[in-house]
Amino acid sequence: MMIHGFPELVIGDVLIAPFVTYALVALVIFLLLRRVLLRVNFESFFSNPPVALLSVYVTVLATLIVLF
Amino acid sequence: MTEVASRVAGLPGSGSARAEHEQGGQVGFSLFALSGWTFALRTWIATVAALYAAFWLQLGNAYSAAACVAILAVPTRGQAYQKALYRIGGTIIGFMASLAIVGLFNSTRELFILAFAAWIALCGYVASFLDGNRAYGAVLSGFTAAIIAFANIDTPQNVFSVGMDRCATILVGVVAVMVVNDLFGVPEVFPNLARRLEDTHHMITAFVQKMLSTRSVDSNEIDEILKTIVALRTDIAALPVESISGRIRAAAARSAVAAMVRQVTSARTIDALLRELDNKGDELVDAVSRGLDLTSTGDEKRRCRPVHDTADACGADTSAFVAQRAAELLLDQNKRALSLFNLLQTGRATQGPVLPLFRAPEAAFRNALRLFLANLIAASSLSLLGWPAVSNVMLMFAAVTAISTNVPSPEKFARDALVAILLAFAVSGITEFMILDGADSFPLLAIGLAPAVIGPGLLVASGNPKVAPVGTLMLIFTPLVLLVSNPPNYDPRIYLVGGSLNIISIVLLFITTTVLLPTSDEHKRAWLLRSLQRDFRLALSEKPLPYDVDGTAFRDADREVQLRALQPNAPSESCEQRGGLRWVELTSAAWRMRLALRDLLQNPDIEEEGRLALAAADSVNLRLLATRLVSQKDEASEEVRSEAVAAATWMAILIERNPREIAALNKELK
Repeated sequence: MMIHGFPELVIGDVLIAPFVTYALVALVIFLLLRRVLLRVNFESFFSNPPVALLSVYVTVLATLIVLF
Repeated sequence: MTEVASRVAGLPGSGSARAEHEQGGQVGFSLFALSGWTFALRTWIATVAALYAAFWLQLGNAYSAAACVAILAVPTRGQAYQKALYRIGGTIIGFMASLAIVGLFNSTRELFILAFAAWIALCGYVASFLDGNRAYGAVLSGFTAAIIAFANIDTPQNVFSVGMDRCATILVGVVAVMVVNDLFGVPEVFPNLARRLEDTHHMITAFVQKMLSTRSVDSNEIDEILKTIVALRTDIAALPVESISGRIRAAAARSAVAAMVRQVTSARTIDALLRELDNKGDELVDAVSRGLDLTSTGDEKRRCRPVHDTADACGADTSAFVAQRAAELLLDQNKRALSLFNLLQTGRATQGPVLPLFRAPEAAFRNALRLFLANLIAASSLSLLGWPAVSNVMLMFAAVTAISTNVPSPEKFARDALVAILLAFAVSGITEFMILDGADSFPLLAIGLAPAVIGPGLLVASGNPKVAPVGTLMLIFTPLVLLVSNPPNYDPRIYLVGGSLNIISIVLLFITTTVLLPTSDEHKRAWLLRSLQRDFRLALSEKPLPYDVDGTAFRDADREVQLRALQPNAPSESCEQRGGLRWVELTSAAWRMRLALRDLLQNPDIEEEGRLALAAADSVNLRLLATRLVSQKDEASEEVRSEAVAAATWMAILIERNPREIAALNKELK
């Protein structure tokens, strides 16, 4: 089985945990996605839009962790 | 603490929930309200989740995550999200400033304290120009320096790790609140805001109809309407972060607010002129009244003719024309507000104006100076004591003094804080030594914390202006006194010393607010009058005006609300208050005229001529200008020209009606 390595970010000798990097990149992608979601009227498909949006964020985050 | 105060302080138990509560006329306290229990339980769940995550991540000062949850425990999702963003931003800026202060002045204690006090004062100055969560974010940047830099004044090598820890605990608290809010379906700002906007519009329509029938305005009613409109701004600012269509909704809501303010202004202009109009007044009253009825039923095409008479019919330089123009504006803005309510519901894109706040720079400077002196004196005195533990006093003291500068009544805030810290001290003692009493498992800690969180949570959710602020502060202070840690310590010395130092901080706040540069209503009135005269002079100068018509109208309304909130004690103050309100009218009219002339976009000579007539406060020339504008046929639309004519004539009328103010201004200009 292939072992999944995690990218480590070091800024000025300070190690940033891989999860923080993933979370920030996912946040940026999520903020960009919001424009698309607004166009397709995403919130109107759900009875509780905040949970749907939270799920989108978690999906993006999980995808990043699995793929990179 | 008032609603505005608690919002500035970033405190829950305010905002929409309280507004809703007060609107229903049910200011009281009920232990059995379901919404109160859900709020309190939600806060407890978020606190437990944040503590668990902080323990799991082995963060130092894990109790900060619980305090962060308490600070973000506000009744609506939008407000919580907005506050969370400003909390993260403020903490990061404060962390950077701490690194800079420690890096630059570590070797010289005096300079370190001076730089620390100056930074807090700078943040307090900036916060004085902001409102709501923005102001909270600004003061947070200031007192974060106390938490990170001052707390490590003797151990500068720890500043970086303490700062990282602080940022991490805050992120944990924010994420806990956000996830719990999302999962538990916390009420949103938008539905309540949309309802309040429509209610305010109904209130204005009723006010106008009453004004038309009785031909007089009730000053208290105007006060109430303006206060209601201005208070909507804070909730509108939370819309963009609440949902993905929030930005569009916020733009529509801002436009609706501007339209309503302009409706009130037009109604007051009509009221000021009605007595001079005789028969034409009756026609106008009838036309406006019918116009309002038709707009509300959606049948605008049948709008009454007298409101659309041109300047030729009654003479451009007459009160009748100004009143007709005001009536037209009133009906147009009424229609605009109604169409924006539709846009709000459909969520279609629209452009919204900026709604600038009015803040007196003198007040901001005094706030900053007070913060600087308070922190300088306290930090120097504590530093001289030479006992490392007393640096903890500064953490709490810097935070509460910074917040107190932005509340309308710092004295009341200090009183509430004193009650809250004593209660928090008692509750923490009972929780630690009677309920938990040596327990070391997390589930027991979670259950043990329940009364300490749910109790104050219920006070917050009650919306009662007397107990809610105390509940909020208790919710925040309890984790700071309890100092929950993993493993738990149960050391009575830590509890007694920590608690006593926190109480000393609040006592120092109490003394500071009473003796150090307190701001009286007299100061505020003088600053407001000075700002009005300054703005009047700006309208006379060649400088371009910084706001558009909507922005100017809202800023004027905000300033008027602040002026009306000051209670005159002596007859001379009452006289000054009335003078202030006359200046509000004069300044608004002068700005309106400058903006109208700017919009003409034609011969620059006309704009200059108008400005000179305005600068000379010459009513004859202003009326001549109005007549000339009517006769000029050019590319400017009829609407724009009518506005310029009416603005010039209205200014002339006000100059004639207020000779005392104009004479004072002329004397000053000479």
